Amino acid sequence: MPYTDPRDELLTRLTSRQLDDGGFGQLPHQPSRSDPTAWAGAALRALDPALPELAAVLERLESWQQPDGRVPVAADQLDAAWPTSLALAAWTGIPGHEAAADRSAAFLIATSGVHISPDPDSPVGHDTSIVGWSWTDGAHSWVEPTALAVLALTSSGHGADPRVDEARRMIADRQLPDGGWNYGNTIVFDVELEPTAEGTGPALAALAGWGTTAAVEGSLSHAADVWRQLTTPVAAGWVLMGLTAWNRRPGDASAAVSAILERSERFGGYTTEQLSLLALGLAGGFG
Amino acid sequence: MTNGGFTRREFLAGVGAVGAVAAVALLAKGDSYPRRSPVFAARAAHYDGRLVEVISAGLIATGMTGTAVRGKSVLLKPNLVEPHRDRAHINTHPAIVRAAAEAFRLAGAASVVIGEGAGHRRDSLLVLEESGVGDVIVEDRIRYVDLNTDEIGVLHNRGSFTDLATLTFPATVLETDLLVSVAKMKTHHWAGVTLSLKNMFGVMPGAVYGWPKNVLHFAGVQRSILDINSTRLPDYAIIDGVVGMQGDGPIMGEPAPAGVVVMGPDPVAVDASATRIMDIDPGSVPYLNVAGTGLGRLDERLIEQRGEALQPLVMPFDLVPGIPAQDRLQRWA
Repeated sequence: MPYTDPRDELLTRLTSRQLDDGGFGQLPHQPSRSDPTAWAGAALRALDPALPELAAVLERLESWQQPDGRVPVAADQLDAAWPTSLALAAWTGIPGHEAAADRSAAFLIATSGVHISPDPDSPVGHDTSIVGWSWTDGAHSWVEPTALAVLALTSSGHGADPRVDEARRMIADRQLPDGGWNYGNTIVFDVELEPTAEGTGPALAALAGWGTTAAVEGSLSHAADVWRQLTTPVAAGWVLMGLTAWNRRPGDASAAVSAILERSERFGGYTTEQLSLLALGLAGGFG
Repeated sequence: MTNGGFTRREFLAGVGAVGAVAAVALLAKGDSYPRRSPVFAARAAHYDGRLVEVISAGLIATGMTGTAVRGKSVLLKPNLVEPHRDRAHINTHPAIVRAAAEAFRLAGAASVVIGEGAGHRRDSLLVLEESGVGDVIVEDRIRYVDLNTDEIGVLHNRGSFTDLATLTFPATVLETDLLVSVAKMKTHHWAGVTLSLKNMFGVMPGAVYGWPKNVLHFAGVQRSILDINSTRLPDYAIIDGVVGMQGDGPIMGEPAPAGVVVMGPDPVAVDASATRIMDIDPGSVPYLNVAGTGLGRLDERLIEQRGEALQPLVMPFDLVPGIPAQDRLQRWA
């Protein structure tokens, strides 16, 4: 039977797996870690910023924040700081977490992926010099971590920072000639790569309000086409966010989210990250 | 800073430079293989139910029976790099995954789990659905673990081919009794060929290394392959060459219907035989050449070929001129 209110079902599923320390593991039996906790925090805030359970999530996230503002995947994995953007999105606008949010925003603005001057002999087609954000220190900038940083910085009031503008240029540069995005490569050894739902969704969400609709019309069409075929939570969540950001939200969004929730038992349930991305899609974005 | 995945000329030269040092390091560790490593190869023209018999025969022929399997936990690591249900030449075929799971169960394994950490940032459930492996998991009631987001553990880097002092692995990889690399037979535009050793890139957790496992590309693809396998070598290797990929692999190449399954307990030897079937000299693949100095057997004289003889199985895989990692490859037959 379809869920009459997928929002309530998502809130129930997420909060029911919250651990005593306030955090989340990817699976209910796992201990808390920053990345699933940050996904859950961003999702719960997007669904209901007044949710009582949110306070412990945000406190747990603060416990992992380093003095420089980063929120790494683990204390011994400081380079993997990509959850910082999600933590910032979770803390934004919630009283009592202003200082943590400011530290994380400052960290993001001071941090970037590794960039290289364009090389005419390079086999890759994108402009490797435009600065965005990477998943981890010492690596190149890619679409999703850059989009996450853009969305978090914009929602927290840092949208006018030059880093955000350059990051959007980076994302625009990675758009595939025939529309859509993948993880961030366009052409390799003269062959155009293919778009994915999981690359197209975050790119569209991050570019909303910047540039013209015409510049992304092909990608919007691609997203609308793939939406009809999606039955899995991460891809559906991101595509929903991307289309919503450009006022193209599908009319069947709520019903589709319900159907995807129903399918979760096929794989023995969803991870926290999967539930969170579906929730963010239903909410229409990070808010 | 290294240029990683952008200008391969530099790292190819680098691997050559470290090769001698690496060889000494690997030889110093000694190796536990018998003087000759068994590799089983069998013809398999189709993805059908006969594959269980083929893989079961291969397990028996290579000594993977009795206490080697009985009561053990088995982790099958297929290659699911990009999901395309209509392109069987990209990923390890679900029929191979299903057959391998069934063969290990028949051999007495206590449990069989499928795990993958897709190299690109993808929806892992979409990958399962589009690859067809999702149906195998559901219908055969096999547990699946997303290695990109699994719990993690840190090991000292036993290879030292890169500057990475430690390597972080998924807990499921560290805890399993038998790690089985269930790879696809493909040419590759960064590594030359991708087989069971390169398939281990996909166990490294994206939550730590990012996507597309970018830290490892920056450290050097070929060096990273050696480090990962020096630190956690698969206990067994199975290569799906029923329909492989030639040309611009690992995604954009063309089908190569080699009609063969290759398997054995020494992943280097398995990769060496598979490479020869592709009509490529494994000694011309830098990481395989170094791996053959201590991780396993590369020299034909040190591989005991069981099942089919290699020569009649050879099907020259197309290479793409202008791709440096493929330009350096030499034909074998």
